[in-house]
Amino acid sequence: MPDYREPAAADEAGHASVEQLADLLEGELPVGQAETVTAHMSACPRCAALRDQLGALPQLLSATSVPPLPPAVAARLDAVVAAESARRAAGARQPDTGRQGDEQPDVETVLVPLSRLRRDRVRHWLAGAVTAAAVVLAISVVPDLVGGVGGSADEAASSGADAGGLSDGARGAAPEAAGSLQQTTPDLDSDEFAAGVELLHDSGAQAYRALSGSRPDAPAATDHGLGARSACTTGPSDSVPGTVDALVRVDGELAQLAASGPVAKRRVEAYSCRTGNRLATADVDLTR
Amino acid sequence: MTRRDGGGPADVGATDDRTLLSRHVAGDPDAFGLLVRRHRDRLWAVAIGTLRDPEEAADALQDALVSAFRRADTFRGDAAVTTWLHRIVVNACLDRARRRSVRRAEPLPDDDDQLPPPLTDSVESSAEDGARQQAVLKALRQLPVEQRAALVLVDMEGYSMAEAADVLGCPPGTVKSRCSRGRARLLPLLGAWAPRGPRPAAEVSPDSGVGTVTEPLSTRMRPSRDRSRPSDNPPGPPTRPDPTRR
Repeated sequence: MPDYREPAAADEAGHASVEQLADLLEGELPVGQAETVTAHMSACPRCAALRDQLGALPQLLSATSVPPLPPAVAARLDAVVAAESARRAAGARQPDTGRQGDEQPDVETVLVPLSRLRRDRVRHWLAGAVTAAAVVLAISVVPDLVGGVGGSADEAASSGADAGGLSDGARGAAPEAAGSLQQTTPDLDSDEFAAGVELLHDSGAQAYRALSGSRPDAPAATDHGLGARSACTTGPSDSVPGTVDALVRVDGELAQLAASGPVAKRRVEAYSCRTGNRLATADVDLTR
Repeated sequence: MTRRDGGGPADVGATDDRTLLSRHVAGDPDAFGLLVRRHRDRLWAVAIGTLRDPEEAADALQDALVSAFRRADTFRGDAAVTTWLHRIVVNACLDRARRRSVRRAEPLPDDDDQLPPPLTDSVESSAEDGARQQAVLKALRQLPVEQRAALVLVDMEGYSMAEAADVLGCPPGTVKSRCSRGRARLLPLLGAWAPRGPRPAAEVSPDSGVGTVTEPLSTRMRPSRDRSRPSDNPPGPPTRPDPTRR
């Protein structure tokens, strides 16, 4: 028997140990002990009752539900897989995109490099942002699951039950994303501003994708940073070129982002909504 | 797992896991995502059961899926795709749990605060069911992670010993031992929530001695609920009871 450990022995009164009883029920107790314990139990209601309790444990466990997969986590997994897919496709198409090999975007650094950031706050936000992004992804990746039409007959037939599940997830995720995005703004550490900007950009949220857009000052169809221009009335919207309709916090202070320069070395600046002062600057590579 | 990939009647009209994985390896950008959607509920159940914290479980699942995505070409056809996926997820969970226990000197903090609200399985679930579930989950968290993983797979999720052994990468006897010792450890922790036992006390008589027990517990006492088992065939709607979906 592989690494079988002897169960705790019977006590002085001869009662079987719980381990012996459990092993007996699992057919794991060595024959000699099994006979002894069985004989004892036939005369000992206490041990017999204990055995019955152990015997009922699997049913108790099977009747116990673990928390279901939260829609935000499901969406995050979708986003991770989609990002991996995109990364692989990009790698296959253009093995050398001009970037250093060791700088290849990597889904782990795209989606969970949060330890160096203000983990709690950014993370909370990111769950919502990725949810929003993933709803969009879900539409493009599996069209039949969201609209109920389209998609190949093969997929539609293959995953009727799964399609229902995903639709549920997508429906559940969308309102949640909208709610959380309006209420929370990602908080970046000024010391880690560059990493934070890259993270937001890579999260796929449209407002931050605008940082790498050809016309960063064009109004973004925001799924976050909602109404930066109105929310940030004293900010730099009118005075700084390249202002993006996206809000962040820098060390807790609400700020609007501006972007300029080549995408591979984008100058991203955060201006306080309160004072208009520049709070942070970073040159980041937003080619991905 | 016990069922073979492909070839069964359930394949008709469905893309089986193995085909999806092959398509993924061949460059199909959507195949892996479909595979994940098909199995993510069960993979999550194992992850959240094994790790205690939803955040950790999500991270472990994410790591595992990225790893599976990248290592798909190393999948050997001698296991079911679901077994392979489960193995990667369980290993990611065990790695995390072990790293955490190294990081923290104290073995098992009582992190009740992080426990999600009680889950109810159906409309007739009562507050008592919720409290009992909480008690079970809390007790489970006191177990060593190897025993917990075995019990989650076998008792909670209804995998056979052989399936669990494949997933855990150890001999079936080891899984049995872990389940057995895990149950022995669990029982006193459950206190008032411990099961009464399946039989009325009157039947616990000398005549009903365990000499009649010839079959291991794990095959005798299958979970009462009809659980969807891992299989490489996408389950069709009528045969896919999913206790986690409501």
